[in-house]
Amino acid sequence: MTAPPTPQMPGPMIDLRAVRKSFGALDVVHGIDLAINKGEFVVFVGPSGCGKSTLLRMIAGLEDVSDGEIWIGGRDVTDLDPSRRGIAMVFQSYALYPHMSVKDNLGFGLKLARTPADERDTRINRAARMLQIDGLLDRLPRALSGGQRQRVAIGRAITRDPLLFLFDEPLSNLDAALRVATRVEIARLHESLPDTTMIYVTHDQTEAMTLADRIVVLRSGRIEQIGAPMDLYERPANLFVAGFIGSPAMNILPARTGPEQGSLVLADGTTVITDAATGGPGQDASLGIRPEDFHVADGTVPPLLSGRVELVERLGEVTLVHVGLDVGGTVIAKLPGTVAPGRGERLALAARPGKLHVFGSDQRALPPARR
Amino acid sequence: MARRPNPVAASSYHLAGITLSLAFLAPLAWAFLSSLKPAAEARQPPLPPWPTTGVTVENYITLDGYGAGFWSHASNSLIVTLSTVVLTVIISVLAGYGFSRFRFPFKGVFFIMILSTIMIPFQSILTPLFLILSKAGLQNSLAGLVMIYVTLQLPFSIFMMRNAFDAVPIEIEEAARVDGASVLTVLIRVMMPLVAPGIITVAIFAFLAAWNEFLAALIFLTDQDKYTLPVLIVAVRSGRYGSIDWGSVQAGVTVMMIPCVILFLLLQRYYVRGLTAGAVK
Ligand SMILES: Nc1ncnc2c1ncn2[C@@H]1O[C@H](COP(=O)(O)OP(=O)(O)OP(=O)(O)O)[C@@H](O)[C@H]1O
Ligand SMILES: [Mg+2]
Repeated sequence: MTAPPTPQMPGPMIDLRAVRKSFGALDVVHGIDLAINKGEFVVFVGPSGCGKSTLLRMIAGLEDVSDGEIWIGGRDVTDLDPSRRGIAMVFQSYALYPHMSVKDNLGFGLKLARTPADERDTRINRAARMLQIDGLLDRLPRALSGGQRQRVAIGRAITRDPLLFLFDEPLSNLDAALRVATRVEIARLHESLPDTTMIYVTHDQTEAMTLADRIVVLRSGRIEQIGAPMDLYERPANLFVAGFIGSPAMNILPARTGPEQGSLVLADGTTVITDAATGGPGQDASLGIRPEDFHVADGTVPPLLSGRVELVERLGEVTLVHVGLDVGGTVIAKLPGTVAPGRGERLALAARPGKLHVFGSDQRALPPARR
Repeated sequence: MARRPNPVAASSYHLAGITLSLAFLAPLAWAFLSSLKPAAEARQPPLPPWPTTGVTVENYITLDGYGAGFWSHASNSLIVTLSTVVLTVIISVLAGYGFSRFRFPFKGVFFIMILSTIMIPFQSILTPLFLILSKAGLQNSLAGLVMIYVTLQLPFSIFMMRNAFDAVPIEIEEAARVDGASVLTVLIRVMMPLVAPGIITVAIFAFLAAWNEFLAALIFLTDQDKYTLPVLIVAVRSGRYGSIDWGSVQAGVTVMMIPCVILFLLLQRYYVRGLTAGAVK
């Protein structure tokens, strides 16, 4: 935190300009452009090996940038040492200093920055209270539980009052209950530090949906889509994002565009009317329906799809029904918990046309047709 | 239900422990007791090991009267040994860190080359070493001896330190870098405490090797005033008038043992200390 950058600069807090990374002959990140505003909570999601950590580590300065530029707070930091970037990072493996007490772990960065001892203590105590680790200050990391270690790791980042907070899958070593609790705490942390920009890497889409102001979906080192969580959920830009966001994943059925604008013809000749601008007839397309957008056709509306129930998973508040369709393929419908069709029963499903997603032959979402 | 220790097992455990301790302590006690024998008795066959015709410190006085005086030779030994330890630790920490964490061309080849020097018998390079040292003006000097000792110690020490650094998770270092530490600060404030057991092992080995080394000291030190303790003791052994002075040899041996024993008592616990527990995961 030597030479703190001037945060009053107009423009984005972080600016990635055509950032590339290759390990030898292996290209891992292919030209990422991304601007992140001050105070934003941005989540990088994507399947394993897509380059999330690599991108985060380049922002931290722990990995060299092969090409392109990284700007933080209006400064070009592409070649700046990590120690001088004014950032804090929470690692998946906690990475506490094993030979230092919790207190010294929290204060190490401040000590390096030559913060006066009384101010150091104030900040350590404030962070410790915030994370409820104030009773543990004299312990060594090896005498802490996993959840406590993770709090110390977060606390170590907080005490330094950084401009930019980086998290690399901070919750993945915690058990399910603790993960939920810590997730809520991170959300609260973000609220209490409105000026601090946060970048959070995860492959857990619940974490992404609940924490993010904006989600960046990555695949093989490329950005697939950037947007607010509900934007990605409601308007996925392509098949990959459609399948990645939402659980259970969106049902995808192969189709062809029909003669009328918005119509799709399924494999068995069934015609489905959607809101999408399908263009000319006879082109390959995909129909996407989220499991939660299905309801049981009750006779007042014509059914969209029908088939035979293959498997029923009752989760309590909802029931997941796997239906083997007459047109071929299987879909999952998320129905109210009170609905419990028997196995082998016939079931007709309907969905509102506005809830149908249509993807063209290039796998991109087709825009809604103008009426 | 608390398990009561089986009395037979417990006592045989202690019996074995006591027997082994005695076996290891006996030679030390023997040397010490023999050093207290008067000159006439010291020349007799060595049984019983304890003095029978009275206790004396004359052997220690004889030892001190030899050459430039005992303290002068002891300080030669100490200078050589401590310099060897310090240099070995500094170089092997830096080299081990480099081999563990940095990428550079021919890293593997260099490492193998350093390690393979362990296989060269020291005696076979005495002549070239002698020539090199006299060219450099370091023959018959303690500094030259230190350089030889450090060189001999380094392959093992670098190997040891590289493994010690390898065992520290890289994230700890990265966390420190992000926390604002420069490379050197990371090494000194974060990494060194974590590899302390390795450093102590390297230091102990360097200490023992340099403190006890005889052949190189005998060959490269021609000036009697510069003798280190092992060479001094051999000189003492031949006695002043041609007869062998066993008593003084035992006195020398006893004195030489003291630092080694102290060192082990102080540092033995670090051998088994695993500091990294709890850092990651
Ligand atoms: N030091 C390295 N040398 C060579 N290849 C690397 C290195 N680090 C990462 N990679 C490769 O780069 C790609 C991206 O890795 P990265 O760690 O960024 O993935 P990720 O998105 O974080 O995945 P995960 O969700 O599993 O953590 C992977 O194919 C990985 O094998
Ligand atoms: Mg990763």
